[in-house]
Formats: sequence, structure tokens, C-alpha cells
Amino acid sequence: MPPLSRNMIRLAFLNCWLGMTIASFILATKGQPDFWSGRAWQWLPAHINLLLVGWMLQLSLGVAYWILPRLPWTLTKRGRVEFAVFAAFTLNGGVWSFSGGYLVFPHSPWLPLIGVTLQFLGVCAFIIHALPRVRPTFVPKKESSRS
Amino acid sequence: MPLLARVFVRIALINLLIGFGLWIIYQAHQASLIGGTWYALHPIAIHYITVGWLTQLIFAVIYWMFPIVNRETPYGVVWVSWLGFLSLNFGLFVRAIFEVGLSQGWSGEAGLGLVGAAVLQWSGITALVLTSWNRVRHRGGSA
Repeated sequence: MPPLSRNMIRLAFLNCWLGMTIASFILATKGQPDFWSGRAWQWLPAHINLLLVGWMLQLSLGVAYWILPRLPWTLTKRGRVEFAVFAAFTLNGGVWSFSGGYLVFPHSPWLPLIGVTLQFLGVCAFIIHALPRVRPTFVPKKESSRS
Repeated sequence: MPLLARVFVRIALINLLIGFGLWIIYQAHQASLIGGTWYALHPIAIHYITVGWLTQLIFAVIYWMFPIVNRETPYGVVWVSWLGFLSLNFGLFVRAIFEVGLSQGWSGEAGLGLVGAAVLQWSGITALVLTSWNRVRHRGGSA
């Protein structure tokens, strides 16, 4: 498992745990409305973003980087790796900006806007990396014993 | 495929059916085909599909497929994984019961059931993340 995949999958686990922790506060507030002064409800977008993008999407991308057919004629064997690295940084930066905005500054729209823009850039970058790898697996031709 | 993975992939499939079944009831209620107060089914359906199906399937396949910890204990601390999956599923079930109950007018003390469901699900996910963390490694090498 390449280092970038390991890092993306571990970050996905971290985002999963953060998203579920926020979810626990929201669910507890549903049951006991006075819990945490009811503030947990404004964290709902952060919960959704951390889990849908930070956990599920990032896990898929991390495994895709590992599993997709390699490009053996390229120096890195996985093609345009720099785009995948950029995607990892911007995706996580975007998720944490978006979520941090709702957690810390719930009435300001700017951090969520920056966050979702970064996430979009990250997705575009990963598509640029991955598209050439969506191909039949390269199998080297065996030399004929008769020739 | 190890026993734990088999059990929880099957439970994930059942959760998927439950999620869509509840969603159908919710939409039928929205279309006024059935009476009563069933708005609580919407978040329950969403969570049965995203947590009970998707997240549980992901962790079950990670348990099965990811590089082993070592030859003696290939899947790590197995009882913690069992506890994690059971806690997650039981938390979902408790949430469903008490969320519907509260919407049907159960007393305010029933809200403690939702707090319990939150604790169960959080404990389950924490256990699963901890046991899966060690499996994110280079096959045959170090983390």
C-alpha cells in the first residue's frame, strides 16, 4: 500500500471519528434539547461534510490511488502523482475549513465557501491523476518460444 | 472470508433493506397514503443506509481485505472489532426505537434513549477506527 494511500486512509478514519463525534452531540441534543445549550444543531453541515467527503469520498480515493492499474512506462509507475498529492491536501484542507467554519464561526459563510471550493479543486485534481489509469491492466507480452 | 466479516456484511445488507423500507414508509406518509406521524423515519432511514449499510460494509471489508497485523493475530484484537460492530448496530436500533417513540409522544425521559444511542454508536465507531488503524500498512512491512 503506497504511502499516499496509507495517509489518505488514515485521514479518512480520523474524519470518520470526528464526524461521528459531532453526530453524537447532535443526537444527544435531539434527546435532551438543553444539552450543550442546543448548540449542536448548527454543527449539522460539519457532520455531513466530514462523513460524506472526509470519510467516504477520501477512503474511495485513497483505495483508488492504490488499486487502479499502474502505468509502468511512467517514472512514478502511477502517472501524475503530484495531482493526487495536491488532491489529498486540498480535499482535507477543504473539509476542515468547511467544518471548522460551522463549528467555530457558525454565522459566517466565508470559511464554508472556501472549504467547498478547495474540495472541488481536490476532486478535479484527483480526476486528472486517475483518468489515465482507468484502463485495462497492462500485461507484458510473453516472447514466443517458437520464434 | 473470516466469520466476523461474513456476519457483518450480511447485517449491512439487512440494514440496507431496512433503510429503504423505512424510506418508502416515510415517502408514503409524505404522499398522504398513510396516516400518523412518521417524519422521524426520514433521518432513521438515512442513517440505516449511510451508517448501517455503507460504513459497516466498509469496515467489514477493511477487516477482511487490508494487510494483516502479524501471522499470530492476523486481524488484531478481534473481540474489540466484535464489540465495535455490535455497539454500532445496537446504537442504530436504539436510535430508531426512541426517535420514533419521541415523535409519537413518549415522555421526555425517553430522550435519554437517544443519548444512549449516541454513546453506543460513538463507542462502536471509535473501536472500529482503532482496530482498523493498524491494518493500514504496507503488506509484509511496517506501517
